[in-house]
Amino acid sequence: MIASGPSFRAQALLSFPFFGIGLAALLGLVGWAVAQPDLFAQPALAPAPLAFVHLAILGWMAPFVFGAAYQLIPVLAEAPLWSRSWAWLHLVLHGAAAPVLIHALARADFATAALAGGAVALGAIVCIADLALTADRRSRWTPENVGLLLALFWLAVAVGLGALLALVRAGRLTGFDPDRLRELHLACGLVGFFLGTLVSVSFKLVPMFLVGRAGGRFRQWLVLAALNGGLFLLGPGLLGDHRPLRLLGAAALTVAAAAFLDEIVAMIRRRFRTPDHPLLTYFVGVAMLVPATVAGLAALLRGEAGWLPARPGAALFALLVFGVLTPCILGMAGKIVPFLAWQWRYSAHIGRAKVPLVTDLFRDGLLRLQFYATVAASLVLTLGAWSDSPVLLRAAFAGQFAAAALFALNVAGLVPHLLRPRLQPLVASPPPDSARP
Amino acid sequence: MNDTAQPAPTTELVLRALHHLIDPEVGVNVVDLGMIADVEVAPDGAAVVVILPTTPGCPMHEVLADGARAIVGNLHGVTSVDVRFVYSPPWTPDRITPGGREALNRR
Repeated sequence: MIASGPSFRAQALLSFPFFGIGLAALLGLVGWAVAQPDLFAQPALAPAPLAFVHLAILGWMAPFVFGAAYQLIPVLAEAPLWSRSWAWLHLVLHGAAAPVLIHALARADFATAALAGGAVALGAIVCIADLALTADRRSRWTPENVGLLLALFWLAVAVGLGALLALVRAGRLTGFDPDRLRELHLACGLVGFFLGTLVSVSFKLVPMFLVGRAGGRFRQWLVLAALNGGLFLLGPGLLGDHRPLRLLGAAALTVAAAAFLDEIVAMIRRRFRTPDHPLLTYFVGVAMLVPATVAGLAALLRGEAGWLPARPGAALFALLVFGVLTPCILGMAGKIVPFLAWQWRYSAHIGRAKVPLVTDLFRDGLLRLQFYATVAASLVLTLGAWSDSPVLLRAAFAGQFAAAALFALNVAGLVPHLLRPRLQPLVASPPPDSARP
Repeated sequence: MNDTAQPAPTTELVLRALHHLIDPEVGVNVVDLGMIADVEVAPDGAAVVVILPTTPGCPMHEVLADGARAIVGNLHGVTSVDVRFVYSPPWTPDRITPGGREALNRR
């Protein structure tokens, strides 16, 4: 049985600190990008870009995804979380060590970075074990469950590659090209873990939010096979600089992106409910897979042509993190955060008092503005990443800052609900005549 | 309150009461969403409500079950409420009533 009542409230409480860390980091991250858009033109392993990338991944995206995963994976697995204590331990390790790691990277203090990185990695291992054991409890071999287990596998690989890269950078290990290790580390983390998680939860959550019919299982398995197969090919393709393997991996990842887009369109067609603004924001992120995939192909094939991005690697990172993942995470967060707040504050009153709906907890005007800011930022980001223009990139990040700030305003609007619930007497209005099972 | 003025609990009365139980995520009552698979009321006032969850595993269903217990338990003459879940055949959107479909897109 899934956690409910006080147990569920305790589990909801676990996610709020993760979301708080993530949101604060996002505001700092896009603020930094507005102030210094030339970060993307610097060498990838220079201190500032290194700190920026880790702030994006460990500061912003990972805490939000972890916070959501501790709620969603038990739902997908239809089983309780394996250990809430492990999840709290993960929160403490990540929350304490990730800022130290990012600060140390910014100062090129690799000894401190290695220590802090070890603590972050330990937290990730605790999280992987907790979530994998949860997902395995009922051994439900659905695409969403298998996809999440594979995403956790890629997180473990990304953590291992990060440790390997740290050893190479510290001069304690030789024989590896740090640039190729970095590319694979990013591919496993961004594509394997973050995109893999996004794809897997979408199979379940998008039809649920759209009140639609279940998705096409064949297409969902195809997405997972192409995504994970592509990453397995990329490993030797990137490390060994083997062009045919990189070509095959790139082709498989392109098939995965195309099949996922097709599945999302099919889900939208099967809907019974009009998408709201958080879901529309999520769809903007999904649509940004198109330019991100083209930039990814250019980066993987080391392509050089006038119509391709001037800096394919930087363009891929910007489009994947700020074009695809950020709107997708913020869109889903627009559904999940008020849902958790509602559960925490109002679930005990349902049937006993008139309570607000989940959608009443976030102001729709702010959500609408956030959606428009996201659309504008995504379009400008695509142009800026393609042309490597600091002016356009700055404008795009300003739009993203506006979107993040609007989301933060909505989160702040939850506080009055949490402090003082808005309850009204349950009025026994005349029952409708259409009552029938 | 005069007990004789209140009707004895019936299946129809329980269903009508359940129209006041709103799924807080979509803003539509559980009856119009097609989530009520069955309702039985015994002569002694013992009520059984069978819920067909829209998404197995969703924590909202436990909340709705609790709400159903409260709403039906408040009906005159109901002596106990047993809320059960059934998962087969699975819920599909085809179970949503025309009124429910309209309400889904009204917000």
